[in-house]
Amino acid sequence: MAVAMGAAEAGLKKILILERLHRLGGILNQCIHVGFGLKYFKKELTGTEYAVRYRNMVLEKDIEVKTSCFVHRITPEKQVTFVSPEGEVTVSAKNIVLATGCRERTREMLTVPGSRPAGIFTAGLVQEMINIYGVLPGRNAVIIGSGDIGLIMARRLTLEGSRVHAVLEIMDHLSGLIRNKIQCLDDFGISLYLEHELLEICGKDRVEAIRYRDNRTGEETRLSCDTLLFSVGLVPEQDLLIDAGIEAGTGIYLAGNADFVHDLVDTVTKEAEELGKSLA
Amino acid sequence: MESHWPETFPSPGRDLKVKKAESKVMPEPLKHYICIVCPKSCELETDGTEVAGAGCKRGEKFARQEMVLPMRVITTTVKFSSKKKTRIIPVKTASAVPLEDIPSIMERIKGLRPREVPPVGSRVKVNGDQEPIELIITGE
Amino acid sequence: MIDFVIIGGGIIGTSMAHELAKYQLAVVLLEKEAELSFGVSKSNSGIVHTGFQDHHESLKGRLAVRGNVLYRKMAKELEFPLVPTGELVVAFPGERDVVESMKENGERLGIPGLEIVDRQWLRKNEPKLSKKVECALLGPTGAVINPYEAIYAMAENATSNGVEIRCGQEVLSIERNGGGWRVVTTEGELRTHFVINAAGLSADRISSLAGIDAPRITPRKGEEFILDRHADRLTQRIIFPVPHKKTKGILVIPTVDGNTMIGPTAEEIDDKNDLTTTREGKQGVLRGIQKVVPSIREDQIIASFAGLRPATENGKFHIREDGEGFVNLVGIQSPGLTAAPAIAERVVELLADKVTFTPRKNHIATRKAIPRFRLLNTRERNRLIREDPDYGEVVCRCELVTKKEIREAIRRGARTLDGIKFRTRSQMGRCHGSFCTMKIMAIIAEELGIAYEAITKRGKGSEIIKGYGT
Repeated sequence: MAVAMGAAEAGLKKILILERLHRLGGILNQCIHVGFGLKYFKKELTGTEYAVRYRNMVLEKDIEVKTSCFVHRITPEKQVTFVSPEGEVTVSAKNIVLATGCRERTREMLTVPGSRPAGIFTAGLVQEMINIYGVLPGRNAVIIGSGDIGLIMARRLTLEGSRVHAVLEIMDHLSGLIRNKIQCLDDFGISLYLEHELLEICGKDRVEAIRYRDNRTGEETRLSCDTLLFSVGLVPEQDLLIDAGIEAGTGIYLAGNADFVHDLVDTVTKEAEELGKSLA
Repeated sequence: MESHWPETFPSPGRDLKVKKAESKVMPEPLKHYICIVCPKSCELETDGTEVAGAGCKRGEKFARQEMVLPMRVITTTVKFSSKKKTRIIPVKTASAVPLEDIPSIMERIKGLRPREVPPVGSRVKVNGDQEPIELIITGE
Repeated sequence: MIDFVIIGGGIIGTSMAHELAKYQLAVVLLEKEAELSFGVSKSNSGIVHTGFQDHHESLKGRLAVRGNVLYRKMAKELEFPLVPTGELVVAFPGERDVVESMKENGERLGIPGLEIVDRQWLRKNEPKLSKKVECALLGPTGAVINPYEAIYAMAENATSNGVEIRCGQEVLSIERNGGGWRVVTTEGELRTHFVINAAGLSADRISSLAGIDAPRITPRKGEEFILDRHADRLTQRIIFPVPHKKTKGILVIPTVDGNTMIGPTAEEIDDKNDLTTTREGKQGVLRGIQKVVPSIREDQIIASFAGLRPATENGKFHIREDGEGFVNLVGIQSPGLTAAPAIAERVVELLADKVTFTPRKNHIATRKAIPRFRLLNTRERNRLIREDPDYGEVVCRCELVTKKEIREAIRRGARTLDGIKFRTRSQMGRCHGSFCTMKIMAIIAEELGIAYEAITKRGKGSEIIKGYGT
């Protein structure tokens, strides 16, 4: 949205936003917590409020928006192919900006040993489950990784009635922001265990327990739980480039988290508006 | 059923392990907090009145309040069920509430069974035996 | 009275159902898990062997070769993917005579196209192989499939020909009754002339339920590891080392879907439910494989899983009518998948003098697969979208699976997330379902009219939502 805004404000006329979900906003639409907009709007907003505000700004401009459109191919010649219930279409562009955000790292990517029961999720998926669909994955959770999404979900799960037993972090330092550790873990008495490694997932059909090790002492512990959230890192979603065998360059750009993982949406917004402006 | 809430919430005046700021001017006992008001996350030191380490006035206010009664804004969702659909709508408390009241406030919010979805920004009162709480609709 | 009850809905059982569907018979297949292929077959490597690894006089050898031929035919008729990769058994210095005798064995089995290729050939055609490999036996008829796709294809064809498939029904007792068998399941009872025991890991238990002796099954676990699709396609062919006594060794398997898979390990275990992957398994596979393809790295591994082989002590196929009207198919491990359609033919042969196998009138020999959006061109895609706009709604972004494919999978019998995964490839991509899971659950809830809490990963006990729901 911000790239489009920046370009529109700088006078560019033919701007098209292709969004795969049914509304603009991306990941902000499931970020119901506060911490957004302090710099950009000078107000402490929730992610959803930020999205609504910005979205309304975009809709006032002469920017074409197509939702429920999934872009699955771009070419070095800057053709974009997308699919929607109206059909598959290829359009040509002078400039393409991928603002495709990030994908989460998963248990499979870490090849954590053990079984494959139900009850294993990424933190972002749980965020979607609770905040968009209103379902609670489980009542006894352990969070693997101290990334921000995991910390935020520790609080969210607690508010909804789940017990979060602990957050296990393999490194010797917190991965997310300290303010999130305080207001999501400390506030609710949830322990953060640094230098703790997940050894195994146990459970036949549903998660029953995990085994983990304190890498400082070597002590191994078995902990009963029924839900595991993985918050172990984000991967910029650059598949469109990789599949096409091209790199970002003149005419094809990456913006926001698709470029690299940012901490604040305010920063993303500013950078993206600058990029949009430069393309006009 | 065993409660999943902590037995005691972090009490007012709890001490967080931070580097001790140079405290030349303030007498003991001192409390240390990391400010959560903005991403700067200043390391604060306070005796309840004087605050050191704050980058702005809000940080000073935060430290003093934290020592007396930690307050937090709650963000959660409310299920709106009309005849046709069920919508999950995000909300936040209009102002910060005492951290230790969160369990009871969440109960009250979860007990809501509202119908029509109000526009973003509008306020919804949650009544009850206790003081009324106000929620702001934060999404659509 | 039914003619045949098949116990077990894996590759063996569904091959049997597909074969029996050609005849004028009343057939019921019982599967204890929530869906077909959820047992042993789910974790199968998917290799359709050339067959030369088994002795030319053995049942395994002959059935594998016949099965190989049948798969190529069925893949076209029943529209499941089969990629004719070919096989290479690589020989390090000192192993040449092993592969030469394998070649001779294969020729006696009638396998076409076998040849020993030298270093030069390997350097040109499989450059990623270790330079230490001296020569290799090339078997051009080797191929790969996705076992569950073959299973669903055969099952749908069997159903269209009148075979009844019942999932989620576990057999509780089997007894001789009025000239036939009385099979009691968790959902009721059936009376049948013949029972075919194709129950994989439980085959020994099922046989003993009927009071019939059968070889004991000792599960042998195999762990496999899948490499990122973006890692170079490492080999074009399936790569075998020279085989050991108990296992074919650790292989490099180019899968149907374009990933490379390495494994499996072979570990005897006691627990028929142990499907855990282990660090030791991963390290063992990497060590073994790096001898053959040195460039394989641990960080290329994006997924792993384990399977259990229904192994028996003598390692042979046990295909026998062990009781009156009770056919045991026990210990069907490698090359079990390959031999499956031929095993089905063999059972028909075995019973030829007891059963009248009248060809079914109006037998349907083909089956149409769910159109795979990802593999179609723009024109085909737009035609489908015009027919049904749900073909234009992408649900799984990693594998480009549309809402219509998901709905069709449910219509064809999928009830679980895994069932949908195996029929559509959704949830199998890079994000492992973190984007599409809830969207798929919403479609299941809508199609079946059930609550989110009732939706499972692979049957009762594996519900996704264990908190509360809408």
